[in-house]
Amino acid sequence: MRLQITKNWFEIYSEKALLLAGTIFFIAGSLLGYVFNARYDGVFDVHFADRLTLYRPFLDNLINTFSLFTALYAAGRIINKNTRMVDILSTSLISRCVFYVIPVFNINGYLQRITETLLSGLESSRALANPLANVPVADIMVLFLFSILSIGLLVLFVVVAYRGFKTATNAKTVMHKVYFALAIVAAEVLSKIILSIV
Amino acid sequence: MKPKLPIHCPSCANALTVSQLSCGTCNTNVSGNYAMPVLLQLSEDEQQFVLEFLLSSGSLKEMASKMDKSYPTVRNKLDDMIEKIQSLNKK
Repeated sequence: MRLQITKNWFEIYSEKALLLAGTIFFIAGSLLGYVFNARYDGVFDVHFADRLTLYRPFLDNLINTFSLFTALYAAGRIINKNTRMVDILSTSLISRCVFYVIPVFNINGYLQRITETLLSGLESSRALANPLANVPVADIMVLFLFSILSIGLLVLFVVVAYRGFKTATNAKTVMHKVYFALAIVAAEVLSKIILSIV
Repeated sequence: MKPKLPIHCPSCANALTVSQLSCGTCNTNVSGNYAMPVLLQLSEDEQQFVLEFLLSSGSLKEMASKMDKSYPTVRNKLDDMIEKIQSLNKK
């Protein structure tokens, strides 16, 4: 019996409800990024930075959503010429919601501090024999658990994005799945290019 | 219980054809070899979908609202049925 992690909301809810939910999550996620100094510097990238201006996470999210939308819509139109923009837009907005929990782990800059300590330890020539010598065990455990969670969220993102894409385009064959995968990669590349300019 | 009209042979699973029709009033029987109409070759759910489509005046939005499904889901089902009917017509 297959375990369903999430219901396929794209089959149940109207485009208006999905767009509204996606927009609310977009705003909430951007605010969380601002509060916890997280940058969404890619379609499936989140990194912590020093003090951010309020507009930065919003702009990052806008670019990422646009990149994902553009790539998925292009792939969708190849598969099915009746693919609607509104369905792909709701897919883009909803699928990115999974990443909006990540900034919360950086309360008081905790995760950023651990990462910086680890990186400085790796850079130090004396620490090459034992790069983790200066990092408390508890921090390593937290980092490990956070890594597992991040991978899980990435998988969830792909699952949600594919469900939305499949519903929007009536994708069925293996080739359609390949188009989807290529679109995700293209979206990441596009977002990196735009974010490097802006 | 309303009996379901079978469309595939229970022995070999091939498509069934109509060979006899009868009149319930005067007991006249008509024999021949008639292909099953395309609409009757659809499953019960699919036939119901077609009826709903007609009753909704072809409005997929209305159908989605009645079926508690999203618009693209209903449209996908319609597209799948169009494909199926086209393949049945080719046979």
